[in-house]
Amino acid sequence: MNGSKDENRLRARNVRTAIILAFVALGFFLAVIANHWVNPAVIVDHWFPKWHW
Amino acid sequence: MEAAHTPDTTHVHGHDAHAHHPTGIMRWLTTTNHKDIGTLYFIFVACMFLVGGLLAMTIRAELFSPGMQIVEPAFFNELTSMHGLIMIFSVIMPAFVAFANWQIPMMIGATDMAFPRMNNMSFWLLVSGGILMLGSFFAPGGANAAGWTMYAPLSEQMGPGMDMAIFAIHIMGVSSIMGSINIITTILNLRAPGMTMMKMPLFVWSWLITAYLLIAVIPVLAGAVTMLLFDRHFGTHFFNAAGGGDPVMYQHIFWFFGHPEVYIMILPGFGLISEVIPAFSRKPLFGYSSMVYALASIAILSFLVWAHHMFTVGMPAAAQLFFMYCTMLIAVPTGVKIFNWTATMWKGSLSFETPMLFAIGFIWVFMIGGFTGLILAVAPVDIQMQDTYYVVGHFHYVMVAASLFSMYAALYYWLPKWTGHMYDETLGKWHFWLSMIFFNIGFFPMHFLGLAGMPRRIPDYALQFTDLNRVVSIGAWGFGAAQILLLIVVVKCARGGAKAADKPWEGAQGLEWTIPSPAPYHSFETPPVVK
Repeated sequence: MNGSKDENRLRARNVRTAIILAFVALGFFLAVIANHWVNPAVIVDHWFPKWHW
Repeated sequence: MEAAHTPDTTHVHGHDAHAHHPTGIMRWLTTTNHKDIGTLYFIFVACMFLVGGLLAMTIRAELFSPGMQIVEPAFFNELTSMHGLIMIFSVIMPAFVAFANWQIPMMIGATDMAFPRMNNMSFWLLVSGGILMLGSFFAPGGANAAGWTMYAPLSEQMGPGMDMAIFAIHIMGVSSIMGSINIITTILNLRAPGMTMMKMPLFVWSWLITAYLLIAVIPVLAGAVTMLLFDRHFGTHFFNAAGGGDPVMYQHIFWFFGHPEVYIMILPGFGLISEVIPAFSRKPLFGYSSMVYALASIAILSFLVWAHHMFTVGMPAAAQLFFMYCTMLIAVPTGVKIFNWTATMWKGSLSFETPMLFAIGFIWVFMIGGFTGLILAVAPVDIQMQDTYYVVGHFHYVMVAASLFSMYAALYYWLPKWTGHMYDETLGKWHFWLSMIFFNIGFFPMHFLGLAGMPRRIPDYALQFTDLNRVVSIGAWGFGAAQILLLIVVVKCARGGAKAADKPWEGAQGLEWTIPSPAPYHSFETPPVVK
């Protein structure tokens, strides 16, 4: 990390972008696993029982 | 994009003269150079395309006649399942990544990808995943035989080959997510000064949107197969009805990944075609901004249509209508794209070199695939045609011909830039015409087989399907054999041939044509300024 100030700032920005994107990916993964317990179909059934999802 | 930029190519020559990178095998194992990694991706894709193609040829050999001739029924199921998995995860997706690696930094005026080491890791993870997937053929009980979709509960009953496929998907998924993060970061942060988002080449736009799709849906697939793994080995019952689970939930989750995945395999192709058509029409792309918005619309709509893959599982009419209309809505942005490509050609000074032939061929086959998709979107029709050869015909038009033809168009277009030599135009044209003719002989009759009621994924069939199946097999073998020409063209071009100019296509626009051919090891050490 011996780059100029601008280079280091760019590297930091790149890492920030990557971390945000990695967390988005992780969020989708966890959302799918949680889907078993927080199933949208169950929620729809609860609020709109006549739909028979 | 207009070539309104002042690139600085002097640094390019200067640096390349003392490029300090390892040589020999270590160069390829440890490389962090986007061009080297792009080449590695292409080599991997070529090997896997050969394997996936051989599986397809065997499938067609078995289906040449009714009755069982070459393989056991159980092995036939492995062939169809693994053909799909290999072609999707080890051929089409990585092939677009190969183009992204080679082209994105050059097209946006960057030195390399944002995370070169992660780029290397993405590639070698992909190779590990590919080996694991192929290795599953040698596992006790054989490879995954539950289709590329690996539907539960069937996939919960198979041998260790299924576990290997699940782990392979995990590893390839990690590779894909790392690749996507790299591509998004590169595009967002490393564009040359003056290259605003709406000045980016369409291929870069298409990859930016595709990478976001990958980040959103690959974890969904990873979640689905993880739950499958837990059901298989750790006593959970996510998808096991006997334990209170729901097999249909697997289908919902899978296709929430699966439909955006279909667009992941075609959006970069749209980008490639949007580069090739203007170059050989000698006109700027018609409706640039509408092309960008159409790409984004297709990506957003892809999250709202997943259940059209599972109309037959039983769902309320309201849900069927919702998914049916959303699916039809996708025809609008897709129509915008077809219109714009045609309008770009309209009154252009057209020439028909191999890239342009493949680009026009792409429009033709993609339209057939698109229209049959529209027919399948109609719920009552789909319920009739679900799991028939009509569906097989439909998605091969979109994936084999459209995705592949877009890549061929781009390969011929950029080969002179990558190798520094012009390819053999005569062989290229032979490759196009043989591919186009044999592809249509092979896949068009599938629609009639499907309409007549031939189910997919079966090794044997009723006698009345024999004639058309023979035509399909001959077409498929011809198409497979025609790809040998591509190998010859690429190897010939890489080894020598007429020297390519820095910009061999007079109508080509973009930063990549401002650097020498072949592209130096390091390009744009000093960023060009785009006006």
